[in-house]
Amino acid sequence: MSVFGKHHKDEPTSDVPSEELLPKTPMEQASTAIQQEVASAFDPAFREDLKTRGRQKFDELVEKTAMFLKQDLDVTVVELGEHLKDQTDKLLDTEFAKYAESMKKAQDSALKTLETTAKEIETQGKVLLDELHQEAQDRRAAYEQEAKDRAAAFAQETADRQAALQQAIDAKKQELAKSYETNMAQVIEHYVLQAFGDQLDLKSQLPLILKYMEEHKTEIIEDMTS
Amino acid sequence: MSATLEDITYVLPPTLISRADVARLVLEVEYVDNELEAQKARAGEGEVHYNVPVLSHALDDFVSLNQIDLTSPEQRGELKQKLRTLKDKAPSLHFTFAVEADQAFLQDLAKWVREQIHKQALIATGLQPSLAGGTILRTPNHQHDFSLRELLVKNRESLVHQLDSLHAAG
Repeated sequence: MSVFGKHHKDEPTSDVPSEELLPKTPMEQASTAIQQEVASAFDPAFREDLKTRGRQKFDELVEKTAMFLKQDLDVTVVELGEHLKDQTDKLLDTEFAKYAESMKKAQDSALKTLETTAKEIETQGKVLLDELHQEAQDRRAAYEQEAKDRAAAFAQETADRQAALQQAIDAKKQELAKSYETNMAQVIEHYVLQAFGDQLDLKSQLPLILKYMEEHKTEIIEDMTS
Repeated sequence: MSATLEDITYVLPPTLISRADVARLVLEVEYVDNELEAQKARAGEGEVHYNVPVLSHALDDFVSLNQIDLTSPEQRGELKQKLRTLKDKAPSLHFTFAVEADQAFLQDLAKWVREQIHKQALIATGLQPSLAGGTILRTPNHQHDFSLRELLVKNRESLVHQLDSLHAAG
């Protein structure tokens, strides 16, 4: 069936060339005849009608095809979406599993490292604490010993100073007492000398002088004759 | 030849106390000797009648005590010589007193010294009132303090002790 629908062989057409212009060969004549027939068959109205119907058919076909295509596309999109979703889920599950495993490994490793570090820190802390404790004890002992030494030295120095001070005080007391007594004795002597110096008669002293000379007679004679 | 101290047998009278007294005696003897020599010269070859000058108490005592004839030139010469020796070499005792010693006291002292210490000893005196009493005796090499001051100083410990006892009792 022709796409042009109904074929009108007897309808004249104004588009057909005149016979004087047509070739003379049969083929040419046939062709010219066909052309003339076609021209007479396909007049403008018919052509317009054909065009309108063609257009309608074409639109329907396009619409139908588009509908089918749309349906196919919708189905394809849905399927593709599910597929993609499945693939994505699988991939994500895999990746999540890998990630979880990696995370677990990393966590384990970190945990081990942390434990090791913590143990090492604890060990070093303990060692450091022991050292600090030992150092503190040593310093404390040294400070206590130094404090004891200083206290003993201070006590000894204080005792020495007190003893020296007491000795100086005693000596000063004795010196003052001695000085007082000596001065008092000198005062008394002076008083006696002043009181009796002019009163004593020299002649009355002669027996006493001769007595003293008699006592030292030997020394005097030896000195006189030497 | 000059005489030594051992050659001198004279007895010194108590009135002859110090070296100054001996020096005066020497001068006086020289004066007497000169006077008598002058009288002898004036008499010439004839007999001399000596007119001895008036003597001091010291020389008179000395001459009397030692029985010296001043009219004898030999004895006068010996006297001069021995007195000079005595003046230069006689040992001396120096006494320091608190007051001025009178002549009687010094004569008593000199008598005792010549009887007990040395028969030709002479005496020199000094004055130091601070002694109060007693004397300080200086011999050629020593000093003997017999003063009242020294007596008090020597007994100062006893005085201090007595003061201490009084202080303790008070």
